Amino acid sequence: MPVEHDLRTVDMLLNMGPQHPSTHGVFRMVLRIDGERVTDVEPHIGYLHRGSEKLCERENYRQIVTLFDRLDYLSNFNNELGFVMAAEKLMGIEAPERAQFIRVILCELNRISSHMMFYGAYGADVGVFGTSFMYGFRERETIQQLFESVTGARMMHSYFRVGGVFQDTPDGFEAAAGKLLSQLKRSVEECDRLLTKNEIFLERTRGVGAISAADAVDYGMSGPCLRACGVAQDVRLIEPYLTYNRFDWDIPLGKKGDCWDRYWVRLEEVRQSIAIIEQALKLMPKGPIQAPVAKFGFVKPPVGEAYFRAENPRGEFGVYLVSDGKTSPYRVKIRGPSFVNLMALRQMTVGHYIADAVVILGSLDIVLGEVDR
Amino acid sequence: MTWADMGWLILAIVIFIGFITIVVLGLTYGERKIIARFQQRLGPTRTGPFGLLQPVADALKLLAKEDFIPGSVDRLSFWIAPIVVFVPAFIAWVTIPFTRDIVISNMEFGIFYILAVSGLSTAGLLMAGWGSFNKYAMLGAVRSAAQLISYELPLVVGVLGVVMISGSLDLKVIVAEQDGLWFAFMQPIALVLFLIAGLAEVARAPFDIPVAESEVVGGPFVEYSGMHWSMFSLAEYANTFAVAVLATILFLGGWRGPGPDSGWGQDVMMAFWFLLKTSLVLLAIFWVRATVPRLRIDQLMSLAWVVLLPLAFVNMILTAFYLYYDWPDWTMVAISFAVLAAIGIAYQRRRVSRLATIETAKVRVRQGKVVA
Amino acid sequence: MSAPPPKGAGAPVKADPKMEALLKEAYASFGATFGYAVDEVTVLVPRERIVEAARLAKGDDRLKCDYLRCLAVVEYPDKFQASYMLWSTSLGHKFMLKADAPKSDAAIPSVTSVWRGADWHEREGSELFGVTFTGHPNLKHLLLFDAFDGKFPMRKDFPYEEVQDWTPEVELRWLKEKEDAR
Repeated sequence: MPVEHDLRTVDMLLNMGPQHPSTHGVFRMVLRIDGERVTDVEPHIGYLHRGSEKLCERENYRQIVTLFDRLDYLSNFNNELGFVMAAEKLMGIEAPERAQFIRVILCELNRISSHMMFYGAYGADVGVFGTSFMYGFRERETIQQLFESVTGARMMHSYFRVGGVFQDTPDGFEAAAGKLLSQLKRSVEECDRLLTKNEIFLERTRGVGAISAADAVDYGMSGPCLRACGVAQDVRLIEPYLTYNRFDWDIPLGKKGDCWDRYWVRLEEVRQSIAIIEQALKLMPKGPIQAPVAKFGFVKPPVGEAYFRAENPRGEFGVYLVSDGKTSPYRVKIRGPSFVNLMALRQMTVGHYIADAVVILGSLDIVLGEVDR
Repeated sequence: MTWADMGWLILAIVIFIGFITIVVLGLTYGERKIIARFQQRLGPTRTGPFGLLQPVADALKLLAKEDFIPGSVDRLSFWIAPIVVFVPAFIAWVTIPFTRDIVISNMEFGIFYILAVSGLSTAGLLMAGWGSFNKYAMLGAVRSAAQLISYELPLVVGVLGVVMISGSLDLKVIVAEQDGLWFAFMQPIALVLFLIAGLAEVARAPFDIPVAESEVVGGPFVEYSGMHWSMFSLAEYANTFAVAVLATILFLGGWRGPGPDSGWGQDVMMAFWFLLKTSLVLLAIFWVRATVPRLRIDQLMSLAWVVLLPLAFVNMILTAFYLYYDWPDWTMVAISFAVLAAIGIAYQRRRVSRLATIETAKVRVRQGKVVA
Repeated sequence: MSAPPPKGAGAPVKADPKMEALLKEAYASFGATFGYAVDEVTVLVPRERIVEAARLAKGDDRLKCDYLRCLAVVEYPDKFQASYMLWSTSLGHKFMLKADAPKSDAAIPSVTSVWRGADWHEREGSELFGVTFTGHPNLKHLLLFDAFDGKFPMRKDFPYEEVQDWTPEVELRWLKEKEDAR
């Protein structure tokens, strides 16, 4: 019986709509599928566009910190850091040492909690019904309680200021942080045992969504997505800020740039963050926490422009600040790492199955707050 | 059959259906509690003591929910699909014995009937997917049809091994034949096949990709709500319970166990052993659901056709040799376990070599500088 | 509000003489203006030669800037300026390329052929500011919905204080107008 070579088939358009069952925020993917294979992906973003950059032009420097909290809503401290350090760079000032150490500790704790959220959501994407979610969120809970003791809020802190931090850490912070770290060390091992070498997890993520190092650099990818391809670019290493050049830590690198590598790099980074926090707690001095920056609380950087980048849990978070000497910036351009990482989604997904599209999107670990701003 | 007999039969059926429904509701509660414990949380605790009234709350909620039908559905398919899925799940119970005396209607071809009837629900899933007028539903339905059909074969050929040894399709005879040695020892390959294929037949984790389209959206069930959806859900749990019960009857010796030899004490003990063994199988099923990620559809299919089906045929041939040449029992046990061990060792070696291909690196940073 | 004056007036400058000399040599024929953004050298080239300048930045062995960190569009009273923040993963140095476009003719050639990562940055810049990046393969709306045609929110003269009525009817009306126009 002859095979019909001119069987008229039509590619199906499948819309993974803005309301995603598997978290990640309001993101829309239009997949063109041929049977089970994806032939084209068109990402649609902008559902969470709040005009943050325009708002920055009307608010003063202290108000803008609250705006930056809400960009990548899973790593609030890291966003605030990007902005206040861009302003400090433009003003040519440096926060006092104790403030820098506090910033490092809080940013690294935020990195851990963000990666735990990734772990939870990724397990849910791959199909472990809820168990990984609970493991991840148990850690986030304890970290957020520590945050609450320092800043008063579990998530949107508004704690960093241009020139330092808002207020000093409470008594017993070091002890509480130390206890938290020992608990985190045990939990990371548990999380590792659940998923990393699991046969089905390996089947679902190895070889899926691979991207070469050259392509990743060309797209401007950063963070764990880039380090999973084997490119050792970590802003804390290549352009050290705060006190990162006083710590000893390792940068985990993957080899193939597939979903498993991205997952593994993040899990390893949690361990490295724990090491950094331990060292920071030991080295943290007593002292002032705010540089003498402005009278009556209005920060007015001189006329000029500056670009500062920090290592967010998701990659390189850049703030391009143009000032005209007033109490509000002239222009703030926010370079969100997820915005850039998402450009590579199409190349990674085409040719894989529909179920892989969800897994690949989960491994990119995007947060729509900083994609759309 | 007299009118009285008919009346008793109908009463027995009603009681039985009610019993199964209550057991199924209890299963939903048990699953939630057990999976919650795996996830370091408590599960239902507020509705009633220890959350025991949770299934009642769920049932009431589902009954009271607005059961809306989207405008563009194919009405006939949409309406009939839950019935086509629900009815086979329940009529399969007609011939399953719980103890030597408790069964609605024992048939000489019991297991054949059960396997045949449970295959009917595949059509219901396809009807649900088509009738929902929804791409997700269609994808889920097509996948689930492929999955269910593929896993029928290892399931049936595995059960065939048990049938060959016991010499009968009658479930009571199968249990009676296990008086020396459970079939779990005589046919361990068939037990493994039955559990894996049974899970796939019920579309439970880790084989639940048809009902996890885009993770959680629900596959063929996506457009159903309220009473319609609850029929699918009840059917799923009834099927899971059926898989566990059949595993007990076919492999774990059913209601056999130490206990008094006669009188009502014997009945109680038989029921107790039966339920105990079934509970252990159910625990294993829930455990797998809580901890293991799900397989992609192509991995699932290749598992069925490339791994399970050849294994099923190997088992059948082994059993045939054992029966024809009248080997002693221990040869069957030894060879089966040897085959399983060989597969296990080969799998472990493949896994170790695959894990060795994972390459990772670390860049060591000391005081801000990279060191080798 | 005045445009940022050349280096020295107010903002601190961490001079990088080695990079400055290297860039002055590489971009000698471009008629470029050099400046500083605190610690980065800025090179302002004429917009017609921006793609050439980008290729030079990526391909030249002394520069090898294969990583586009960011692409920002800023509106000044008299012009639009696109800034390209570059970084070299192999050589570990950075600088900023800039290109100006007058308000009357807001078009800058696209550099997506040099770095694929410029894609979405340029789309965003074009829809928020109205700067057309000529040669871009897909200049559709990215963050704003399609009915936002013809208005550019990030411009300084966008009627920020006005309460805008963005209901679904507005979008449907826009879609209908587009259909009628076809």
